[in-house]
Amino acid sequence: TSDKLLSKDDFHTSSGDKVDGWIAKLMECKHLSETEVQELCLKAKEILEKESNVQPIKCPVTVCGDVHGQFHDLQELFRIGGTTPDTNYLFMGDYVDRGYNSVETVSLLVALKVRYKDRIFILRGNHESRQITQVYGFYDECLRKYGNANVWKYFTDLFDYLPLTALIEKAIFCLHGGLSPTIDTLGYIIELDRVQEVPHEGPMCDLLWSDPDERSGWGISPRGAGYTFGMDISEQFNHQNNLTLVARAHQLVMEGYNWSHEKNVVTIFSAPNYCYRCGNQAAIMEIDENMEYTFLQFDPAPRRGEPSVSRRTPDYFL
Amino acid sequence: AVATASGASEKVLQVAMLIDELRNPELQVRLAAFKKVDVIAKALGPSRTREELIQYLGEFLDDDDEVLLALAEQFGRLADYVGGPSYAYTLLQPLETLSGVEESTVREKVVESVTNIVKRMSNADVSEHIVPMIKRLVNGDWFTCRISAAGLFDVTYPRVQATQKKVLRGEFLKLCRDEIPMVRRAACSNFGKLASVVEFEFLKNELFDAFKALAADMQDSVRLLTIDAAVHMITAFKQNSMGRQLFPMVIVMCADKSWRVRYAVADKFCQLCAALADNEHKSDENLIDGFVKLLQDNEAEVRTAAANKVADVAAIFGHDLTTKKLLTPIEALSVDNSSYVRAALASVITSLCSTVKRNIVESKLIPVFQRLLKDIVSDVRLNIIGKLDAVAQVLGVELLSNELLPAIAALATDKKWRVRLSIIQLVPLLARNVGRDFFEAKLLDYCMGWLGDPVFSVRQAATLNLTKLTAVYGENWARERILPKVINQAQHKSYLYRMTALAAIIDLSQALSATINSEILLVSVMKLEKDHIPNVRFNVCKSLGSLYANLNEKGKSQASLCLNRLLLDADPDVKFYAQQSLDSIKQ
Amino acid sequence: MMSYNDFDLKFVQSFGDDNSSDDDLVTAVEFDDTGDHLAVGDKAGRICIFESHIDRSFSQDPRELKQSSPIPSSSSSLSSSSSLSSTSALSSVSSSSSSSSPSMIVHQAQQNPRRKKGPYLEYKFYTEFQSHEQEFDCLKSIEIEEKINMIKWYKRQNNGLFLLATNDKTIKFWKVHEKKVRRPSPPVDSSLSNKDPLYVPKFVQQMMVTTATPKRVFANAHSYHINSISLNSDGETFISADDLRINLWHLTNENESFNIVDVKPPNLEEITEVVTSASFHPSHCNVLIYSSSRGSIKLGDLRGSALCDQHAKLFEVEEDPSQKTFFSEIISSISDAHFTPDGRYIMSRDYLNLRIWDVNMENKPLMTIPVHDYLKMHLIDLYENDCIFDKFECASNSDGSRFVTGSYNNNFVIHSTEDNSSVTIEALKDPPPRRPKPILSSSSSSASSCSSSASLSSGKMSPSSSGFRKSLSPSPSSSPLLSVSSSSSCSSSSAFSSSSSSQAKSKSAQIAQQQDSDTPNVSLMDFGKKALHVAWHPFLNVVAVAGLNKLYIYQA
Repeated sequence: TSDKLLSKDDFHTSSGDKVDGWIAKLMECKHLSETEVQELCLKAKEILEKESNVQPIKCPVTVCGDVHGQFHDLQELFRIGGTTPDTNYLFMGDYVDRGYNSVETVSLLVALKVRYKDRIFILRGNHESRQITQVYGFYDECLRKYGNANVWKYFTDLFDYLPLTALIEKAIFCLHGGLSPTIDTLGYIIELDRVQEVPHEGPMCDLLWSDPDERSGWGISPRGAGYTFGMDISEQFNHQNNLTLVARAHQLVMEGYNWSHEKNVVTIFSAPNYCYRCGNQAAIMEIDENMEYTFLQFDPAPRRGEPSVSRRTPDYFL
Repeated sequence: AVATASGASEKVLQVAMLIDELRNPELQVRLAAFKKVDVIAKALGPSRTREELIQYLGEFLDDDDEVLLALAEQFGRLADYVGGPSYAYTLLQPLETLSGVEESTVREKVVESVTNIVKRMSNADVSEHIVPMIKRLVNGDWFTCRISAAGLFDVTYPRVQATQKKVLRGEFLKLCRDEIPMVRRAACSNFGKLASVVEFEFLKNELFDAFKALAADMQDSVRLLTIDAAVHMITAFKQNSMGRQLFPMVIVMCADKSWRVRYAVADKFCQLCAALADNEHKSDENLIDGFVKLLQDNEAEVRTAAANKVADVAAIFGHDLTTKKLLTPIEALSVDNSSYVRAALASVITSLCSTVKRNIVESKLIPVFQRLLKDIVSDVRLNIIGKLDAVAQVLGVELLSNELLPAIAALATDKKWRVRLSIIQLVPLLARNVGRDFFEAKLLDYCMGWLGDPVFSVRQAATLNLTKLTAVYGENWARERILPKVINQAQHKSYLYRMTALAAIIDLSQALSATINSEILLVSVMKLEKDHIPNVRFNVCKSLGSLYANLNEKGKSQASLCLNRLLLDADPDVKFYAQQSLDSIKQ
Repeated sequence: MMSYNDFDLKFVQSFGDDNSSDDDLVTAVEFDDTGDHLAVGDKAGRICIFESHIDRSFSQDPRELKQSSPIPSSSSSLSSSSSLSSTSALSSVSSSSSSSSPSMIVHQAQQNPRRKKGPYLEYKFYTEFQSHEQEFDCLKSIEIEEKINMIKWYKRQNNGLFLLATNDKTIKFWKVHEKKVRRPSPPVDSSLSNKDPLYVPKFVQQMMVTTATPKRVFANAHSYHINSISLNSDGETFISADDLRINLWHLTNENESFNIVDVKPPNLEEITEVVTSASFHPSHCNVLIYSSSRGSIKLGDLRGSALCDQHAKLFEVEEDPSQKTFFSEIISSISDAHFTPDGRYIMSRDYLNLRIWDVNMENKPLMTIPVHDYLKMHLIDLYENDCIFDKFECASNSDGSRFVTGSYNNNFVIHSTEDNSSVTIEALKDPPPRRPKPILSSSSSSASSCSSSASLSSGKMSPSSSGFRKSLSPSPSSSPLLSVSSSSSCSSSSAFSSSSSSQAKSKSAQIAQQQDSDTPNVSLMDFGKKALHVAWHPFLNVVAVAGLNKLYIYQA
């Protein structure tokens, strides 16, 4: 009966129940089976390939930065900002690497995307790449948890389809890294062929790698990829594209968010106590239906996933 | 091979597959099969189980720990499938092998399984099979076997004749003297159980010396386990009017060189007191002095353990001794350097009110309550607020309200959202104890304020809280005091807060009548039917689904119509939840 | 002056190949508490286990040797013993290349005619497995070396062997045991008719393979490099120490760790000293010591308080301010400190000295034994070539009467507290050419295989095979590689009492003795050859010394 009223490509049917099952499993920090991941990535590809390089997004939405496999902190993020689908989310990349639970983190975010494609948006970060994940942990974690690299391959193949940037109500431009000397307009970005490994240089690389800087103009990035850009650049870019703000992630900021370039650019970082030792707060930016924004800061979740090194005597010594 | 298998042979095939899966290279498959060994055994019948299956399973005693654990458990359950109690001994051999594995969880399961088997066996079988097995284990090469053996004495001892009892006591004494501390620990852990089944004359003449030796063991980890044994020993000695003999040992334990032993004494102090309790000892100041020492211990962990027992110990010693001995140290604990100590004290101190007289409560304890309510660490404050019902019963909350309110106010607006969450969770308790007027005047605003908290989890707790308050103060109160504010919030400019209002409405509807649900709640929900944010609209769908059962007929038809309209919404999620709610109300 | 009267340490075996690579550098050596096994860790993260075999002509259990050693020889048993010529032992060694064989290759001492007095242990390759692998720390963007920093044996509890091994970051608890390879027999009759479908297979012909399984992995609890681990006598807990912290673990719990010592100042720039080693008392479960880069040893008492930041005792050499130089602090740093097996003394090693402390005397060491005092004059050069930062270990025999510690040029020093004498020995497997050639015994069993080294040609283990290897060690019936010569004319008693014969013997066993008077020519010393790691058998006078990629076993 219900099926008649729903279009065929809706996941709100029996396959929706399956995805709900995956989400429930992932919420307990249990990773999916290899075949489940394969199926998940296939479904996600169908959705993501339809999205634009500059994916339009309506407000209200809550904008989040790097998560980096800190699964328990992602759960904390949902405790602070609300659960999907009730709260709309935009994640600006870097779901994997560094933290202990890249597999569960990226699986959950992709599963949520598949289940609620209009409620959650996920962009590509510089870590959503075959090359980087082989160095910074995701690849090793996949090997450890699945015994082979198939899951890593499914995900990194999927990463090629992630949109590069998003545009909230034509006013707030969201992306992982920053601007590029080869990009003047959003129209140019739309034309890029994004379905590929993140290149070492060029516009697509810059969007995922660049950082704002106090110095004006373009500068060489100490990261070895992307550029640094000054306030003059961001002002010019916002003006030309009728934007009020560039929201981006990519850099650790101690308060979880950080204004720069006289509020032309904001950095949002959503991995509290980054790498389990940086001592930073995390933040998310709630943009309400009137395009007013509020930053919510949060601390790490009471940690699991690594041994607790306590100065309080554990039970085993009593 | 057979195209149409009958039900019976299908089952046989399943069992055959299970047997096959026992040696599957995939651990998880193997493990699942091992957990169903009883199914295989049932299908094979007793004699084949004994002759083939048990032997076959014996081939897996070097498998992964999970498999060994499953095996150890299964062997304990197979008695019926090997042919009943008279054949139960056939299960012992693999268990004996498993008793030597290094994984303590497996060994514990082995002991549990052997214990189950012993309970099913005849006395004759116990002496024929179990006693020799214990002897082998005690005298074997590996200390892991000796550890396992220690757990088998108390169930075996009562089942055998005097000569074998003597053997068992001798074997157990060997364990008490073993050179490996882990074995002595195992002996300690099982000492109490054995002590309660050994005849007193042997306890006194044979085991007591071993107990004393263990209580003076060089290894702290051994000594700290003797506390539990001490409780059993004291009980046994007391029954034979010799309790006094063990009293000095308790005093010595209170002053052990190792703080871990003192911690164990503090932790078990009430059991020790209960065991020692007779009129003579209850008033024994030495005993309470021992406890006071623990309250004043150098090590914060010991003080914490002792502070946790303050109320229980006070109840044992009664008003006079408590007043005389404990109040001063308790006052000191309330300003202890360690917040763990203060938090422990805060969680029990209100229970002292039932031991000491009211004038003492007012003169001595209330200042302590006040101090703890102002503690800089939120856990301390939360712990005492969480136990305020006891005080309220003795004093009435008015006496404390001056102190209580600032503490609650500070917690209600604490920067850490988990602290705010904790105080919300205490509100129903407070509501039950403080009286409606006080609550409305002082606390209600916080309750409504939390609905607008920036943190989702706090808002979520706040909505649940309203339901609990309705359960305390009743429907009319909720309608007058809560509903208007909730309905007001349903018009909030931010969708997140409108959705909180919807969540509150769903929660509240369970506690309210069909009339109120239909006339007030439903109306405000339906006002959001055309909200411009889809998230609000699909929460309207969810709300209508939940409300439906608690609506009157008119309300039901309105809700149903509304859901049908939402079914045509442009947003797929709204459609989905409209359909889901419609499906649920049809059932 | 050294004394040979009752102590004559002779080379018996060496393991390792001359041509081996950097990966084969021995980084940890440890006997288990029975002496039956010797574990060797290397730079490539491998652990090699050797098993002791006693000379078959003596029926004693090694444990009995503790009481009875030295055992008077009996000619009848000696004559029955077979021996292997050195040439065959060496030739088999040269045939195995470093890349295709395990990290350790066995060399036997040349047949020593004097070696007739008694039973001795021979270590044979038992198994090897990959304990640690190189990792990239994603959190800190640094490479974590696979190098084994320390190995500690757990008390034997069943027919498996258990040991803890650590690299800079991760401690692993390994179980090494013989596992059956199950091969079920096929059903008797494969035809379908009237066969019971519920066939319970029986197993046939079981092969045993030696398997290494990581039982527990204690990871991610140290922010700095782990320098030591030590098991508690309670049999349940152990500590791990990094530069600034010491954590107490329970062997069954990898999720929780108790940080009992923290010397990290609030501001890292204010660091004045780091923890260089930590170890438990051998029998008092509550006592542990930890040494510092400033030359002190602190004793912590877990009975006193839960946290041991406040030490109960402090062992320290008072510094003479007039002697202070730029290098004072560097050379006073303690590289290794632990209790003697009886727990009465503490031995510590700094750059130049071995010190013995009485546990009950904090203000000064009982004795200070200069290891290579002549290097004092060359500290600048040693600083230049970084040798001054080398971390030498020390060890003692069971009763704490003798100590061993290493030096350069593959030298190691044996110190006897009984007569306060020291002897320096150069660890060598080949006899120095200028030494008088030892009288070769008549080798009666040259045909016997050179057990381990020959059996090890199956190649290094790949990481994927995860420490799983069939033991190829020879059957117990194969004759020992080195056996007592029956043709020797010397009686055992003279071997023990006659100093002149000992002198000759020492030479024959390639011992280079350093007299107090003759200072070695430092310019001729090989500073690349560092005997950093040493271990002493739990009750026999058997010493294992590691120099570069070789392990030498000496026995008295």
